[in-house]
Amino acid sequence: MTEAPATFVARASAESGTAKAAAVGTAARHLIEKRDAAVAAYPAMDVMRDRLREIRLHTLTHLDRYLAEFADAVEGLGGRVFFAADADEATAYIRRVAEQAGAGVIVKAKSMVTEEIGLNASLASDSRSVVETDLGEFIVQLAEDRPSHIVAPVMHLTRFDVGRAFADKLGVPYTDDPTELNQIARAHLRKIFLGAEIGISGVNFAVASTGSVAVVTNEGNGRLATTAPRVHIAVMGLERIVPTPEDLGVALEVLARSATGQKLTTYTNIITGPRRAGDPDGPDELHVVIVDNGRTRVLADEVSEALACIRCGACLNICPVYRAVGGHPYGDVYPGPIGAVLSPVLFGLEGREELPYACTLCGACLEVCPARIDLPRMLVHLRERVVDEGDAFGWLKPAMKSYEFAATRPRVWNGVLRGASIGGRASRSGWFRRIPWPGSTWTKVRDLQAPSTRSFRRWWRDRNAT
Amino acid sequence: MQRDAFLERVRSSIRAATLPAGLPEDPGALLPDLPRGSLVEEFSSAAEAVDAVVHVGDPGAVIRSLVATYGPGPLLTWDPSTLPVERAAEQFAALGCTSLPTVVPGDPVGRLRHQGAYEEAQFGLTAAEAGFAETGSIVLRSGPGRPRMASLIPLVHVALLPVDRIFRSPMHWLVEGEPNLGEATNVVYITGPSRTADIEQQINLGVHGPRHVHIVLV
Repeated sequence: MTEAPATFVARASAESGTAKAAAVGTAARHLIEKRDAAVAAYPAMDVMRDRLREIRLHTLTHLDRYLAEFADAVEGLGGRVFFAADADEATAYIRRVAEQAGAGVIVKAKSMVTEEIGLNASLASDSRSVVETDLGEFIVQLAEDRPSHIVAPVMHLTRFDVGRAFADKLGVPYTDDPTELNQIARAHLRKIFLGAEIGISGVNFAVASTGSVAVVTNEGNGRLATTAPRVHIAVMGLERIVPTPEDLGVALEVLARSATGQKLTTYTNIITGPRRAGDPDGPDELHVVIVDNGRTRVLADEVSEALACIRCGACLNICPVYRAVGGHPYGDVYPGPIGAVLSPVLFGLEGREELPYACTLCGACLEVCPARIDLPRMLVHLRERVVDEGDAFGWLKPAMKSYEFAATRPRVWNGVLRGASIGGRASRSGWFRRIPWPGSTWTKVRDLQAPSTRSFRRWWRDRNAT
Repeated sequence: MQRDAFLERVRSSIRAATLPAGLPEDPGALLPDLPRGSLVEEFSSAAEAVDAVVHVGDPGAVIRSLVATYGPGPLLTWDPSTLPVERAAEQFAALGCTSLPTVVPGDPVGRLRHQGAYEEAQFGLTAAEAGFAETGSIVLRSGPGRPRMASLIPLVHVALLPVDRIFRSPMHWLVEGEPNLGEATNVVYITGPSRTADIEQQINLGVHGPRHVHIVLV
């Protein structure tokens, strides 16, 4: 695998127009059409979105209280709660649990936060392998690829890609029929599920008043991974909390509709503590790992509302930039508009200066966000910060100063325009493919239209003269 | 990190946060305003829209036809005392379906050996505690005699749902049904058979969970 280019623009330019990006665009449009149909068919959608927003913001402003209430409830049921300040603390704790359980086989249901903290690689360093069980994540793992979407991780792959990965890695005869591929995965993973000692899951929502964690999946892997193994480890970002079961209900009303256009995800799995006396099955041990890893930085920031996100992926699906370039150019685990806001604050602005600009400010993400998170406003805020704090756009300040100098002096302005129209004659096609620095920053990734050989002022004068 | 230090960091971030003020201190429940039709009809059409099959009529006849369709095979059933239809589990047995033991042993080795037998499970028989007319979902609650695996690992899941337990929507159940979520280790809403659309957005049923869900209204 070759090293990925260092910046969003370079990565996006490389991906744009490829079959992979086109596949993502098609899939994203398909999902947003289903979302629109589901929303149109549900009269209470707007009321529920308002309610969800209130619940999420209320929870964030009292997050310490609800986290404590949740942890007390889990511990009261015999579960263990671990508060992890960062990725290292979270992975170290999970490695210890795996060590104590003597775990040979670990299964994982889809979880973005475990991708964020690099859990698989960390467990691999102890020679423990983690088997991804969401079909999409399983394919990502087999193909040694990366997810391109937070809900549908292999949007960028065709069934031919999947068929080749299965044939190469599982030693099965090649097929590109999705039904057959599905059956191969079912048979292969079923044995692994039933022989696993530890199941790791994400958490869609954690209910403070009951100590419950809700894990939603369509395939049932979220249930199998949290039922069959003796130990269940649930990993959650600290913002996944909702106060009560009714609040969970409100979030569920909008989650699947926004994500895939379903009324509810196939399995809404609500787990409250480890196996109790009399329960015939389920895990004997439950560990809940609550991860900060930069989230308190987001909370203290002007973009704090981004923590109200419920990870439905609707902002990705509707975003014209995401649709054109896919998820990989964003670089981190959270792509699309929400990723462009979260990643620079969670993981640091350095090297991510272009993300806030990966946006046309069209506002479509705000239109579809079930929690009505004002992502465009936050992206503008981050752009200000990039210019104020960073030196990535070092040329911007002198450029704006020069513009100010010229634009406030008519003689200078006219001189510049005359110069530009002379320069425009150098192009026959009307486009420049490459011009010297600082203009090269522009032409590196796109063509520049040549200035008209006649300025507007000149044209206006001529027009009125006749 | 210690819990206290972690929560203190959260507190100091909240003090710096710029979240909109004037939020309700206690967000209460809310019932969606939905069209009011016959609950049974709405439930049936919503369940069928997500590829579940809804049966009304004699449960014994339904069980006979299901065994005839899929062929007899190992059965994972809830304890007969938890089912709203008498002798439902026995009917499967009479048709050649042997019941698998459902109580998972506490020791790790015994557990894996026990669960290994689940791989070939053909039928799961359970009782739903509620249904949602709007979504076609059923709700299952784990507990003594009510294994989670019965609705999860078999190829065919057969759920018995009393018609008077159909609520208009999930919110109606949460608010009016007094479900007491925290009282069971596991509560699951099941909305149709296991499905995936991960490969080129083509819907495929039965990826990990049951490929067929039959809901018998009783």
